[in-house]
Amino acid sequence: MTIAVREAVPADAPMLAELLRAINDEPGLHPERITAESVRHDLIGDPRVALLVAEAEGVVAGFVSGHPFYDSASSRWGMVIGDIYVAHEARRRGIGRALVAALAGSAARDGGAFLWWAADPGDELALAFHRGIGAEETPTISFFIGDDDFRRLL
Amino acid sequence: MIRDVTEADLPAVLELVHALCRHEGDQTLNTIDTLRRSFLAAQPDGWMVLAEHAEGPVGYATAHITYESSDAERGAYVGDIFVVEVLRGQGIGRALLGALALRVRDAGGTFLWLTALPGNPRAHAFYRGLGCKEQPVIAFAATGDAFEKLASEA
Repeated sequence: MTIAVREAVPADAPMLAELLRAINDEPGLHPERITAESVRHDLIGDPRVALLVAEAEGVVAGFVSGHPFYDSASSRWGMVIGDIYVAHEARRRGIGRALVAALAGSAARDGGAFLWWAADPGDELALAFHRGIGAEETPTISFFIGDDDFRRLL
Repeated sequence: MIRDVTEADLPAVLELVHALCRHEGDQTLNTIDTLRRSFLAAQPDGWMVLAEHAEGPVGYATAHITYESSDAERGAYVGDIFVVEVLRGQGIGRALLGALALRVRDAGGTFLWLTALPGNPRAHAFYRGLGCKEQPVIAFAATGDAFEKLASEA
């Protein structure tokens, strides 16, 4: 099976919006806010976002998004992975790894030195995938300042 | 006073970055070039703000643009926040985050996101005092050989 990874283009927006809504279809989240327009503007249209799409046999089967990040602890810059997703029926064929590898390759070409991402401790499937990549793992606490908390800071 | 970093600040800022690295037990490999690339390039992918007293910078904070797909919202991930030891507990940290929040808001963002190791209670108390939502995550980092291997597969 041929897997091809390429950069997302505006025409991918409707399909990517659908995939993003599927990932975020959980209580407490707002998948309805994810539209083709928001994907086109905020993700595909933002030069600071890396958005790669994987095609298996010519059909979009997954994607990965990343943002640059400077790590003062190592004095290097790299990419933080925002989302990674492979369609259910296309899993276990190396597509996820191909996406992450493509992101690493793209970062490396620009002088980047790492990929970094956070996963939910309870997400066994994601953890198995991440471990298979040979990444170091560190239990961490994530703090999110949004809504009223964010407005209070301004 | 809190303001954006400029080229002239870089030597003094480098001292602060090294102080943070020593405090965290990391190597001090940062150079002016690496700071310049992330924060003073023509299209910076992040912000660096300084807290300044008469004698010079006494603290700094950095953030990078990021995207929360579950809410279709843009925001920023805070990389570093540091205030010199003798001046802590006086609201400078909060002022630095406030300055970042302002810049993030002006860029269309709605949140700040931070992480801290479980063994850093001072950071936890600081963030909780601001108001936030917290959750444990597993942080994965592909660096060195693991990163090189991935990049070579692209």
